[in-house]
Amino acid sequence: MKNKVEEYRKIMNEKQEDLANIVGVSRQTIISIEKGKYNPSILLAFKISNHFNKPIEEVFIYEEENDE
Amino acid sequence: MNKVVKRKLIGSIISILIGVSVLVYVCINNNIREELNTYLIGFSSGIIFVGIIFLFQVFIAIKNPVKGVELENMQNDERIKMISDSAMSITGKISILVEAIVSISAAFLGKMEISECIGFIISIQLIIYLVAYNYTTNKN
Repeated sequence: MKNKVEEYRKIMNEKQEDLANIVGVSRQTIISIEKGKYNPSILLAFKISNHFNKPIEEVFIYEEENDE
Repeated sequence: MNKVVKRKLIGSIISILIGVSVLVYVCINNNIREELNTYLIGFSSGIIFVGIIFLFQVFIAIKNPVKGVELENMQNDERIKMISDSAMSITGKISILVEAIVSISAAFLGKMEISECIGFIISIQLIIYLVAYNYTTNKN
């Protein structure tokens, strides 16, 4: 699964730490999500996309071929 | 003070109280066996140490609210929970495997008491696993 978390975070001019505190996770989790190493739960994905005011499918892009 | 900090504070107070009570009991009671005495002193020192570490974290969280939020996030972080669960699962699997190897080896070496004892521990672990599995299945 690909995501545009880093892209939208930079548009909103936020630090990883700020986003982490807003959605209630550690900064390491945001780093892992941005790197694509960790796929967040549906709840966390909704929290992040709601914070960016974007639909979830715009922030997190499901790719069938690279399904991990 | 957030929920996590409160829980840590209560946990630290309980650990320190238990540790001190055991230590006082050992000091007052002179009829305790030597080995039990050493075990109880070790246990109480350990539990007091854990309590002090918790208390130190609470102190930092109270002094610096940002650290408090960080501590709360670390406790509620789904990725950290997933990593912890995964590590615990691997530990459990390796433990049971090593125990089984030791139990079988002990049986071949004629040390039946050790073999039976470890076999009993494995069966208890597997029963706990089954109970935990059913509990988790019903919960989800």
